[in-house]
Formats: sequence, C-alpha cells, structure tokens
Amino acid sequence: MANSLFQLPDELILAPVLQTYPCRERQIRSLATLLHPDAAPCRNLTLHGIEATGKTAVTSSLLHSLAANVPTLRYTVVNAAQCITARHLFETVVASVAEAVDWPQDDVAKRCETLAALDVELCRMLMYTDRGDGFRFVLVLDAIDRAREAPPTLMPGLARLSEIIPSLTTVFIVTAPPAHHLRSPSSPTLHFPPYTKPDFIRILTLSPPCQPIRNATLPETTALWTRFCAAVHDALVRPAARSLPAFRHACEALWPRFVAPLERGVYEPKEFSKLLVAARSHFQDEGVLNPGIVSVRPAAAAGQGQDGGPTPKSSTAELSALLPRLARMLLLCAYLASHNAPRHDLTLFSTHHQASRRRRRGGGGGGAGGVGPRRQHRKIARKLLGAHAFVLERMLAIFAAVRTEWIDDGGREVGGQGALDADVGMALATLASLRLLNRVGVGGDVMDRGGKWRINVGWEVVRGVGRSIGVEIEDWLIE
Amino acid sequence: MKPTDGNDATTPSGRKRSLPPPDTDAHAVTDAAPTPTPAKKRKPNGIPKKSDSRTGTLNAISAAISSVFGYGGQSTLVGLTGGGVSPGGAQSPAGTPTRRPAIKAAALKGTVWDNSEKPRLLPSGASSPTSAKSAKSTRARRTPASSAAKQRTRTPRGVSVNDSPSKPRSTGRTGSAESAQTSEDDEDEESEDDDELAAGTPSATPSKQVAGKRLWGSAAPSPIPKGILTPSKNRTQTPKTVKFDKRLNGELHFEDLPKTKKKTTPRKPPKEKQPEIVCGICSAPHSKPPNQIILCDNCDYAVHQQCYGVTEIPEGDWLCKSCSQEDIFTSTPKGDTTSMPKAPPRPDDVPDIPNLDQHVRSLQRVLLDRCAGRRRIDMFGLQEVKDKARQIIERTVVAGEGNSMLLIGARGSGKTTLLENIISDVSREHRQDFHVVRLNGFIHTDDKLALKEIWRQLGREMAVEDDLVNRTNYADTMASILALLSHPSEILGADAGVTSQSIIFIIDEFDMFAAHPRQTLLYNLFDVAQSRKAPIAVLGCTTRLNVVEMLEKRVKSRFSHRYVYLTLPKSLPAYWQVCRQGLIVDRRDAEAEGIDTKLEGYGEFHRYWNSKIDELYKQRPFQELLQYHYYTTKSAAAFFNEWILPLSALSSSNMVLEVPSIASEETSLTPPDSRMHLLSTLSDLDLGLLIAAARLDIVAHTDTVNFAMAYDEYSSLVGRQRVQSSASGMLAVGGGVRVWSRGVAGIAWERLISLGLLVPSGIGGGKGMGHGGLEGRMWKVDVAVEEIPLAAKLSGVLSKWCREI
Repeated sequence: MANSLFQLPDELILAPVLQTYPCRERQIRSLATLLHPDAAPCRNLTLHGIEATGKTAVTSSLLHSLAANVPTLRYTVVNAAQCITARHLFETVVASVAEAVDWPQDDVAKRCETLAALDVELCRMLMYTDRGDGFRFVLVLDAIDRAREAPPTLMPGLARLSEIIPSLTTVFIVTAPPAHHLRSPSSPTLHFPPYTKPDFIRILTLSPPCQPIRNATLPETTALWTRFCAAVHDALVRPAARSLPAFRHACEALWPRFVAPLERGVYEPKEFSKLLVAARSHFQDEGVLNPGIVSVRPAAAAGQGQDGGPTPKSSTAELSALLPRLARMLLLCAYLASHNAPRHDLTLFSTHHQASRRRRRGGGGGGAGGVGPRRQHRKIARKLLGAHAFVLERMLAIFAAVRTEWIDDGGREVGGQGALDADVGMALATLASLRLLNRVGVGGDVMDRGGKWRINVGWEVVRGVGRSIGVEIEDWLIE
Repeated sequence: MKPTDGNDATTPSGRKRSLPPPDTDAHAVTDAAPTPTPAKKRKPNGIPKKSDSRTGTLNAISAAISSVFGYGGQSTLVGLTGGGVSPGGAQSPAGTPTRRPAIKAAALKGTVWDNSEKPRLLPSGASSPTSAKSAKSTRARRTPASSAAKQRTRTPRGVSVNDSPSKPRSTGRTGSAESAQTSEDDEDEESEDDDELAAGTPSATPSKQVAGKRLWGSAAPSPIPKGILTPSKNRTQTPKTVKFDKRLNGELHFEDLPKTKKKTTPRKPPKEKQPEIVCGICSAPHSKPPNQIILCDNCDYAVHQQCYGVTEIPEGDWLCKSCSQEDIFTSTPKGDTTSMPKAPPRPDDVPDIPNLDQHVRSLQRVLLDRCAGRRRIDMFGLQEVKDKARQIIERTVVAGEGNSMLLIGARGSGKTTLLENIISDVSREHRQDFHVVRLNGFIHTDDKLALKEIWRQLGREMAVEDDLVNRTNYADTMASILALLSHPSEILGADAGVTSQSIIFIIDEFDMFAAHPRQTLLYNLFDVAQSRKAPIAVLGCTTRLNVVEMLEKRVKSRFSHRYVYLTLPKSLPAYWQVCRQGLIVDRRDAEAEGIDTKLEGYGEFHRYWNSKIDELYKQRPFQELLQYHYYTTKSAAAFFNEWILPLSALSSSNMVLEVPSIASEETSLTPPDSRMHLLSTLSDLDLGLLIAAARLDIVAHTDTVNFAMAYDEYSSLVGRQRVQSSASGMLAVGGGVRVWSRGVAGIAWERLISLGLLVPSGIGGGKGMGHGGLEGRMWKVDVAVEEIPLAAKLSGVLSKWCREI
C-alpha cells in the first residue's frame, strides 16, 4: 500500500458509464475516485438523493465496469429494503460477499444473527485471508435507511466494519441522511441532485420515438419530440411530479395524442405552437400522473375542467350504483354518526322540535371554518378531522329518525317503508363485508348493538351517495 | 337558509348594488323586486362577440346593464345569454328570450337618460377584469365600455367566432387587431355612446332613477331594521365577509367584486379603468399600435412587443419563449460541453522538476490516504494526554500491572487514533508481550456477544485450536476467560517467576457497555484489572462526560478513576496544525510514509509544494474554509473531506489546487446540514401541500394534520389565489394556480411522507394509526412555515402563502 502511486481511474473505464447515465458526470467521476483502489478509496461513503436520481444504477454500473478492469476490486450490492429483518440483512450480506470473493460454498456461515457475527464472518473472508496488495472490497448497502426492524445501532455498527477491516469500503445509499447518522467524525457524502429541466430533456432526447410519425421525417420527429418533452415538463412534471419515471411515462402517454393532428394532416411538423394549443386539454389531464385501472376515458379526457371532479365522481358513481338503496342510507347514517357529536343528535333528529328544527350547515364545500364570529384560530371542519367511532345503537336510531324523511324525498317506487325494515341486518353485513364500515375493537358479537363502529369512506364519496338518493348530507352535519 | 338571506339583504353592498330599474318596464320591475334567495349575484355571462355589428353590441350591452339592475341572479343571466353570442353559453341555464326584446325596445326608443348617472353605473358594469376570459372561468364578462373593452377581450379559443381567428389576440384600448383601422377618438366616442346608452337604457329618466333608488330603499325596509337590530355585528361583519367570500370558491366571491368596484367608482373615470393587463416585463399597462401587449396562447403571459422583441404581430398563434420551448435548444449543447473533461491547462504553473509526475503521485497517495482516514495522523496538542496513556499501557505491558482508564472526548477528537498510535509505538519494542482486544459498543451489543468476541480474538492471537474458540456456551466462555486472565500462580499454585502475557482491552463506545444490564463484563474486567490477577489494561473511549455516573456502585468501586480528557483544538492555529497534515508531508515523515526521498528532485519538489500550501494558506477562500470548519465542528476529518476531490484532481500537468468553497453542493463531500435541502427538490404541488399543512399549525392551531385538512387548506388557498389574480387583472402566469385533484395530491402527500417531511404523530400503532387510510391519518409537519422560503426557491404565489398567514 505504501509504495503504490496515486492513479486516477482510467477514462476508458468511465466512458461507457458516462455515456449511459448523462447528466451524472460529476457524481460518476467522484464516485470512481472514491472507490478505485489506486485512487482515493475511502472507508465509508454515503450517497444520498431523492428517488430516481440514479444512485443505485450509477453505483452498480460503475462498480461493474471497475471490477471488470481492476482485478483487485470486488464488490457486491445488497438491497436492504428487501430484507425483512436485520438478521436477514446480515445473512444476505454474508452470502453475497462470499459469492463475490469466490469463497467455498460449504464454508459460508449458515447463521449470522448479529452484527458481531457479521463482523466475524467478514473478517474471516476479507481480512484473515491473504488477498494481496491493493485488494479492495466494496460493500454497497442500498436503501439502508429503509431497512426493516433496524436497531438504532445498525448504521453506526456497519460503519465500524470498515475500521476493523482496512480493505473494506462500505457504501450507504440513503434518501436523506440525518445528521451524524454514522456516529463517526465525518465521512465523504456524495449528493445526487434531482435532474433539472435541461437534464430531463437531454435524457429523454436520448430515447426519441423510433418510428417517425406520419407526414414527418425522422429529424422532424426528433425535433418535435424534444420540444414536446419540454412542454410536458412545464405542464406536468414541474408542477406536480418531479421524477424521471413520471416524466417518461407522461411523455409516452401524451405523445400519440399530441401528434394525432399531425398524423391526420391538419398541421405541419413545424407548427409546434398550433399543436400545443390543440393539445392543451391533454396537457392538463391528470390521469397521466395518476393512472387508474380504467386508463383513459375519452369523454373525461376531453371535457375535463380544472377541478378534480372526475376521479371522485366516477368512484362515487360506482359505489352509489353498486350498493342497494338501504345500504346507502345506512352508510349515510353511519357518516352522520361518525361526524356529528352525540350532543347534537337531539337537535338534529328529534321530531319533537320538528317545527323549529335548527339545522346548521357545515362548512362550505371548499371552505373550512364556520360562518360564526371570527376567532383567533380557525376551527377545522369536523368532516376533515376523520371519523370517530360510534355505537351501533346510535346509528340505528339515527336511521330510524331520518328514514321517513329521506324516503319521502326519494321516490315512492321502493315500495313503502315496510320494505326497508326487513333487511337492515343484511345491509349492515353488506357494508361491513365491503369494509365500508369497520368494527372498532375486538370481541363481542357482530350484531351487538353496543359494539363500536367506524365509517371508512370519506366526505366526497358520502356526498355523492347522498345525492344519489336525494339527500344533501351537508345539511345534516353540525359543526 | 334564513340567516343567510338576512345577512345578504342587510349588507350595504347589497343595498347599493341592487339598483332597481324604473317602473317603465314591467320586466325590470319584476326583476327589481328583491328576490327571496339572492344568495349569489352572478355576473352575466355574455361577452359581446360580434364587435362588427353595432346592433349586436347594443343588444349585448343593454342586456348586460339590465342584468346589473336586474339583480335577479339566474334570470338576468339568462337574458344576457340570449342577447349576446356568449362563449360560455354552455354554463348558463336555459334561456328566457322574452327579456331581451323588451330592453332592446327600450334602448331603441331613445329614452332620455341621465349622463351624470354614467360614472356610477359604469364601474358596476365594467367591474369584470380582463383576465376573466377563458371559457372555463365561471365569471362572465360584461363590459359597458363596449368596443374597446371588447377588443381587449380575447375570444375564447374553443369557440372562436371572430372574423379573423388567425390573428393573434392583442390587447389594448385602441388598435386591436380587429379594429386597427378605427381611430382612437372614434373608439372613445363609441364607447361613450355605448356607455350612455347602456346606462340610460334601463333607467328611463334621471328623476325616475332617483326615485327608484329611494323606492328601493323604502321597498326593502324590512332588511334594514333587521340590520339595526344586530347593528354592530353586521357592520363589522361586512369586511369580514369580503375576506371570507374570497376564500370560498364557487359563486359567493362574485359578491365582493362589484362592491370594491363601486367604491372606486366616483373617483375614476371609466377610461382609466380599462388597462388591466400589464406587461410581464415592464409592468406598464399601455398598449399602442407600434408596441402592443400580446398574450401567449398557452399560458396567458402578457408582454409588450418591444419588451419581448417581437417586431411584428405574427399570424396565427403566438407562444412566449418558455411555452414554445425555444430555450431547450440552446441549453442542450451546453449540457454536452459540460460532459467533456475540463482540463484548464496552465503551463506556467507547472514547475520544472525532474520526476515531477512520480513525486506528485506519491505525495497524492500519502495525502489522500490521510484525508480518507486510511493513515493515522499525529495529534497535536495532546502530548500530555498521550504520555499519560502511554505510561499506563507500558506499565501494564512491561511491569504486568492491572490498569483501567477512560478516555473522554468529543467525536473526532482523536481518542482511537491516540490509542492506536500508542499501541503501534509500544508494539515496536514489546511485540511479544501483549495482546490487544478491541470491542465496540455498536457492534457488540450485549455482554454475551462481547465475551464471545474477546474469547475469539484472544484465541486467534494466542493461536488456540478452533474447537476451543468456537465454544458457544456463555458460562464456559466466561470461566475460560477468567481462568485465562487469572494469574497462573493462582491456578497452578506454581512459583511467581512465571510471567504471563498482558492483554489490552480497547473498548470503543464505553457508555454502550455501561448500558448493558448488570454490567457483567465491565465488572469482571475491572475486577481482574484491580485485583492484580492478571496484567490487563482496560481502556474505554467514550463521548459522554458523565459516563462514570452510569456505572453501578460495585463496578465503579473497582474502576481506577483515571480519566483522560481529550479536547478539540483550542485555537485556529492549533486546528491548522492538525489539518495541515492532510496537505503537507513533513520531511521527517516522508521516509516513513513510503515516499522515495532519494529520487532526484525530491527536495526541490518538497520545497515547491510547501511554499504552494503556505501561499494557499494566506488566501482568503482557504482561510474561510478553515474557519468555517473550526467554528462549526473543529473536526479535522471534516476538513480533510473537503480536500479529497481537489487533491485527486492534481496531476503533473495541472498543479492547480482548487480551494473548495464552503459547503457548496457541487464540489464538496460534506454531508447536508438538515433535511431542508429536500425542499428544493419538491414539485410545486408538493410544496403547496406542505405549506398548507404547515400553515394549519398557525392558522388553525393544530400541530397534527391529515391529508383531508391539508388538501382543504390547499384548495382554498388556490381558490383564493385565483380570485385575487383575476380580480387584480393580472393574468395567472405559470403554475401555482391550478388545483390538482385529490388523486394527484394524494401521491404528493405520500411523497412527503416518504421523504420524512411528515412525521407520524401519536404513539406508533396506537388507535390513531389504525384507521383512516390516507385521508385521516394524522401527521406532524417537520418544517415550519417560516423555514420553507429559506430552504427552497419559491414561486411568487407559494411564497405569498408562506408570508400571509
């Protein structure tokens, strides 16, 4: 070690990696310097950055390239997020290290339960065996901050391994390292910043659509693709989802719709602005960022406004269409029981005060807070605070109270009130089996009227269900 | 609904605004009768489209004005819809065409009108800002300042009925693309005429109008006493309702707009009101033919021709530079150039020294090993401490004493380095006489593991056969170690002439061992050390000053109470003394570090390098870097970290050592200070949700939020922002005003959680965590509102949310 000379990693080794991962040049060069045995190999190295910035891909690709060219370097990559316990992690590390250094299979420890045992095994494989001068082993622990059941001493302990074994370099890949997460004075930390707009566009330009669109040549297609990607970035990616996979997905999803007028021959490839204006509605389609199982509804995609109406509406429509009428009513009652305080029940549901029923509206659809006198701190609308548990008895009482009124609102075709009485238990069971109502606590019979329940659907759904049977549920809520 | 009615009726705005039409027109009278549910006053929804046809204009305007007087919400709107070709006609309910002919007839009859009435009426008509022009906007456009404003009005894109749809939309009082030939004076007259006509049409005579006004006052007396009954409440509520209404999206916010306009009415003549679109660069509203304001077809960015360098208004759609994505073609080649390896050649800096390349590379090897922590450095200023520790170790090794000592000092103060240096020194003389056992509190997390490890390390050093080492029984191991550590004479009963080998225990993170139950290991070790059974030295390293208080009494009593405190460098020069080893190899160390000093030119190179570093030391950026680390951590390792990349960039052709700037993202290997740097990586929606959640902490005085609350606050913020931007006439430029749907916002919320910016509240697994899913689960926001603008570069809208609580 002492007499070797410093040598920067060869450009030939780096070239393919640099080419594969554009816009990560500084990170690749720094990483190569910090990992190469002849350069400046460090003991612990932390790579951090948000998701989809190329931490894992760059590291493994670079190490692959380095190990192919430098015989004294071995490496292994362990994804800690895939290990269900700490023991699983240790045993995975031991197994993969043994494989990387061609350790005889029968000599690999079967059990490795603690960090101390891992330390022993790694010492046995890396330190006590003579590996020759300049040997380096790089252990990459990917997503180590997402390791499950990790004791608080896991990271500092792993960082001590490289102090015990001089030829070991431990690379930690994390999202955002907390301060002094290794409990060591200082160790090199390499930041993978998120891609900027030119970076994003440069990356996507590398993979343009291979087929030239109709009525356009390939260069024209490529040029159009570049500008299109930039437009997608401004419309969707920067406002709502800054990550490369989301960007790529959005571009791929929008491209056919964007060039559709071109293929029909309405516009020329040069007329980017006209294409852009024509595709404005597509650029505001949120389904691109939040894909559903039913992918594209043409009507919704075309006529979608700015408000997020369609998604809840569709699911509501499904729910209100799927459930029988009685179950819908019970669901509404459950919502009222969950979101109204019991002390207001008399005011709301008592027929005694029928004439002067004071039914106060809750907060408006979009606005929080009451209409009452303005106080120092705004009151949060009760429906936003989440559901409270309620006693089944209370819900049934509410149901009994509102039943006549709601049915009068609705159509008569149901067949009178008698038809509703029969299958309350059935409707309850339906709701419970669909997990729209959840039981709180364990024990007791399901039909126990004293049992506690909680509703599992939100305001948007309930409002839609209420409207489907002609009840404006907002009128029945008291702040 | 009842309280709402009363409230509406008693607001002064309602009184002022609802000017009843004279009783000449039966329709108007019916309209003027205060409707029982005037909860919302909607602006009529007719942009008069056909600017070329004068009658159409008149119809539209008269209809618009009638709607002002009508106050009747839906029905007026309907009438208007019938009148003009309304672009947003889709949103107006079914039309009642009977209204329009009546008013039109009144207008054509040439009724006498009151000119003085004009300015008061106009603003109520001209209240709608120009920005309300998209077909999506629920606000309709109604401009009595007819043709000028009409030309400013951009036709909605979908339903372009314009004569020249290919022309770009241009704004301005005069000289629009459509009526460029019309002179300004004509235009003004025209608009005046229209105004007068519009003003006069519904109110036949001035006297009647006044009468009507009074009549209204008397006709609706019932709300007024009601207002007096609760007088102060209602009056104080009025400004409040304005604010509150703005927050509500939907129809309610229309109420405040005419009110504000009305206040400004008497002061401003109608002409000054018109320029509402300002240039995005110079913020000036004027728009004359050679230098008009043009609007981007995609993002509504408004800009002067001259400010933006557009000499001629182009045919067809026009996009601003950011929308047309012109900049990407200029920036892409720049990205290419950065990928090239940059090697600024400075031949004048390279000294003429034989074997320069070899010298540089061997120096780099030593310095980089030191900086990366692979070679130990000497600790300066710790000589006293070192002597003390060395004395103890030597007494153990040479004289066979049992000793125990604690080294206490901050991280990076050199405890381990000091011990390792001493041990390597001592082993140079007494290699055969002692063994070293190293334990670490992070790795050996309980006493059994530690004991096993001791047994393993001793067995390895003493070359005991494997089966003995692999004994796993705790009791056996304990007994064996105690037997091993006990003085041979005790066990064998032999003579005292036998000397056993000494063992030095180095225990890192000593406090972790003190936290083990019953402190068995420490008790036994200290006991052996104290009772002179065997020559062992127990050296504990810890960062905790009060570590002795953690020891049990029986353990404490066996401890020798020898402490050594290691301090970080006390002055900047002392710090530099430590740090300079990362940059300079002293002459006397060079040989030991493996540098070939006999190679030709070494002396010359050594002098060159030292003078280079000395020169660097005097430079300001270097001093700043040094002081930054001295005043923040005093850790030499942190300083060394900074130099790994600059040192590795050296070569014999490029001897420029670049001083890394303090904590710069690009060049440094220093860890981030906090999670705040994550904020700059968030998208606008993420930031909006985060700000909304952080605002709730202050606004609603709640320290935990769930997604439903944050999204509600977010959407109300966006709604308020849209109202404000459209009210002030500024066009909504860029993002931040679009309400993203719940689904997308939910994804953003989950992202905030995964980044750790939202911390789960409540005890884990409690009943708060079990239910609610994404909507209801409560979280704590890990950042405060005040911190967000400091950490991330916010757009104007977002920073306003942070500012205005």
